Amino acid sequence: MRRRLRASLALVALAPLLAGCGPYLFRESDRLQITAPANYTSVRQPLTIRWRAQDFSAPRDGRFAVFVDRDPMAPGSSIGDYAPQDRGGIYLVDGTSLRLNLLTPLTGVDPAEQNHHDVTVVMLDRNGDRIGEYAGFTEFTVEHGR
Amino acid sequence: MSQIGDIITEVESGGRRHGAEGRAAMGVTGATHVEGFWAELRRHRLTLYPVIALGLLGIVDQFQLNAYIIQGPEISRGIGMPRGVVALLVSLQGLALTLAALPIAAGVEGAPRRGLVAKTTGVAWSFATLFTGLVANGFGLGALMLLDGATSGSVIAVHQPLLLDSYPTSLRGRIVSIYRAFFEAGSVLAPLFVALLTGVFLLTWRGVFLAMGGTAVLISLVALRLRDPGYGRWDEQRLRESVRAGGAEDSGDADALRPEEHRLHFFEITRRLMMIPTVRRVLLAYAILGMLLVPLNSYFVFFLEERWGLPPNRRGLFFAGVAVFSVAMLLLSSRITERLFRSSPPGLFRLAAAVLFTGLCCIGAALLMPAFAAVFVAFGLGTGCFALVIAMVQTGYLSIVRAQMRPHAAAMLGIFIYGVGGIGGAVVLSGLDVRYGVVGSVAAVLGVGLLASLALDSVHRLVDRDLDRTVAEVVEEEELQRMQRSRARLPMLACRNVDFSYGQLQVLFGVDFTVDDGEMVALLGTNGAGKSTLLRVVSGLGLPDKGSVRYRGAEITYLDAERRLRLGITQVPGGRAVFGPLTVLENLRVYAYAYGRQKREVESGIDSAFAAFPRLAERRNQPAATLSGGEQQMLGLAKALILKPRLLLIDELSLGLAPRIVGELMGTVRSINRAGVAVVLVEQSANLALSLVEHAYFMERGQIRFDGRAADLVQHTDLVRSVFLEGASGTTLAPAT
Repeated sequence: MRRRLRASLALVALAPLLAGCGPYLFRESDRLQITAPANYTSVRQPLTIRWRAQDFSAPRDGRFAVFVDRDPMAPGSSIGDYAPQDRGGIYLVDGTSLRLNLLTPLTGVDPAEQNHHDVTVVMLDRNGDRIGEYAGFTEFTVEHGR
Repeated sequence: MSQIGDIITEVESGGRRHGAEGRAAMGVTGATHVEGFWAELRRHRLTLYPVIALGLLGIVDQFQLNAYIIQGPEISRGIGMPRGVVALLVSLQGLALTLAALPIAAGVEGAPRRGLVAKTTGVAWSFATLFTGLVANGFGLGALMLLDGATSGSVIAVHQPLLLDSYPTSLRGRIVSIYRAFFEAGSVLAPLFVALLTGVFLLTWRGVFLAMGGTAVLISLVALRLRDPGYGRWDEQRLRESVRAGGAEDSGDADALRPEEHRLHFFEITRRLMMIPTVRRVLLAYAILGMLLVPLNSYFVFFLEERWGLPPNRRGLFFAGVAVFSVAMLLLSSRITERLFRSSPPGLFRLAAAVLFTGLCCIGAALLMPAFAAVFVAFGLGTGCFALVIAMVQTGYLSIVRAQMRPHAAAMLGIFIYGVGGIGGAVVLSGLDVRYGVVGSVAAVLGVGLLASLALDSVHRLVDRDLDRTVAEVVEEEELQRMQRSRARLPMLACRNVDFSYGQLQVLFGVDFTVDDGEMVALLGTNGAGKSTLLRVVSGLGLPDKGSVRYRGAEITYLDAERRLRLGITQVPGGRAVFGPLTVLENLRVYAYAYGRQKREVESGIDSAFAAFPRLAERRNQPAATLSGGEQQMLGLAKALILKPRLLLIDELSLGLAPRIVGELMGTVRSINRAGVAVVLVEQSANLALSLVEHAYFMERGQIRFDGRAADLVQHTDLVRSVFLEGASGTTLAPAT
């Protein structure tokens, strides 16, 4: 009986592991990747965010949503759920790049972190709903001055 | 009376006689020699299985939190959860961990099921980790984090108490050190595992949780064979056996309380623990230590970033690396911990304080080192010292506590270090980094650590006394049981060496007070002598600072008043003990609450009260406040008729009443006593009390000044003059014969 219990527990434990070998949900994929700027780099303004996507072409399949210094919406949620006045930092893009002319220093954070920014890119379907958990992400520091 | 006194003296001398033997049974042999680890294991036919199983559970317990913290940003982006919520869930997990420890301790207090709880919770948190990889939203994630935190409470409350009972005391220090080493290893292995899964196997955060959860489930299966060997298997039980050796093995006294009737419950245990000076001092030290340990790593992260420019991945490696120091130092020092625990527990606490101070110096040095390698070594040595302190303190602290109370004691340590210290530290020290910079904030927490070191050092003055008290408790308990088995007649109530204080004001000083079954005893004394306070100690309304209260052969010193009521101790308090706004009938129903829903018992009790006091029956629907003084005392005394106690404590029944009423009430008291109920009559009026009893006590300034026949007390004119003069009744002084 005890042996059976152990075997059952082991099977339950192993099943998701096996599942983890396959689907994109459990293994890193390069379906959506930010190519520039590279993670943890310093950049000057204006700057261009570039990314690449596999099996997804905008505007044919939908659009990209770029979230600057804010968290993206949950998978399945619609971009229409954001009120118009709450869309600051969200950009809807049909191509695979976005030029940002001026990122202002963040307020309400440690002075050392004020020029530290992050960008998340997600895919939206034609209805404006987020597709899956795929997200491209980069964080960088903006250098000011000459 | 003298025979009963002899029996009590024998019980207490048993405690003293077994003192050194008892300390040895508890592991404190006084010897500095430490037996070989493997030889001891072989001698007792034990294996490393319990410590390995619990150690592995301790490691996998850290999987969830490490995976979550490291992958917080990915989780936030993946399920679209704000970063603030990600951080909030970490706090909630910590809160659940801290708060769950005590309920888990409560869950194992009745029976030895720590093994079952350890493995069940281990499997539960492993599955929580596994299913975290499958959550759909923040609510699911939050629920699993809370489940992980709550089940992890068993690590705090159950693991070490179980280990202490799984191995002989000759291995205690080393086993605790090995277990702590496992735990420290978890803080190296868990982040490395995450790094392996993400960096090499390229798993997403979901994949990481699935892999770690699956691994945790498989590892937790190793613990399925864990068993609870019973409370105090290697110390208290051995001590009991040594007391029992040679004793009569007869059937027990039918009248004696059964163990479950007087076993302490949750609140009684925690209250009892808080009355042990060593426990209080260690908890204070841990609260202060928490203010150091909980925020230290956070501040040091910023130091590494600002001073040495370390990126996140290298900072992770840094902390994994310094944990190796803790593991090595724990294993290397385990013999020292063992030797000190066996030879001198106070020395163990002094060493812990010194090691803590050394650790603080190392961390301070790490701030000033010019080379990064030196920073690494100094910080590693510092955190290693802190790991040693925890192992040393917990070895000593848990050993001076009764085995059944260890889960509660361990849970309280967790609450004080994480809850009181961690949260208190966050409140007190928040903003330091902004005001004084990173180095200033680390220096501030080191200052707090110095206070913890002083508090720990002061424990050494308390440990020996508390250890001896624990030994004496066990021995006396066993002696009482032995006497019951040999059918010796024990007094119904025996208070021994009782001290009691109201705050800083001590009121009772070493009071000895005994009442035999069915006896009526007068407790006399001047106003403020401590008579009513002694009754409060007996009835459980007040807990003594020192000494013991035994009732029907069992220790009830720390039992709740409500439970004593159920065991047959009823007090009629002085000064018209009625609820004024309630009617007479409602008052009687309130008295009868001890019967719960036994309606028939309640009604029969009320009927007998009305039969004894017809005037109460006439006024059954009248508010008690409108009764005369005598009628209110009748109502108070009716409590005894309803609850049918074995021991009735009556405080100042005659106060301010007319002699005729007093005579009437005393007639009832006499008939209650004739029915076999032992009565303690507290009176300022000696004339009255001595006319009723054969045995009398006289108290003055918190001490018993006379214990003997009532007739003899009359001869002590120096003692009784004051109370004779204050006599409330006009009854002539005529001691009962």
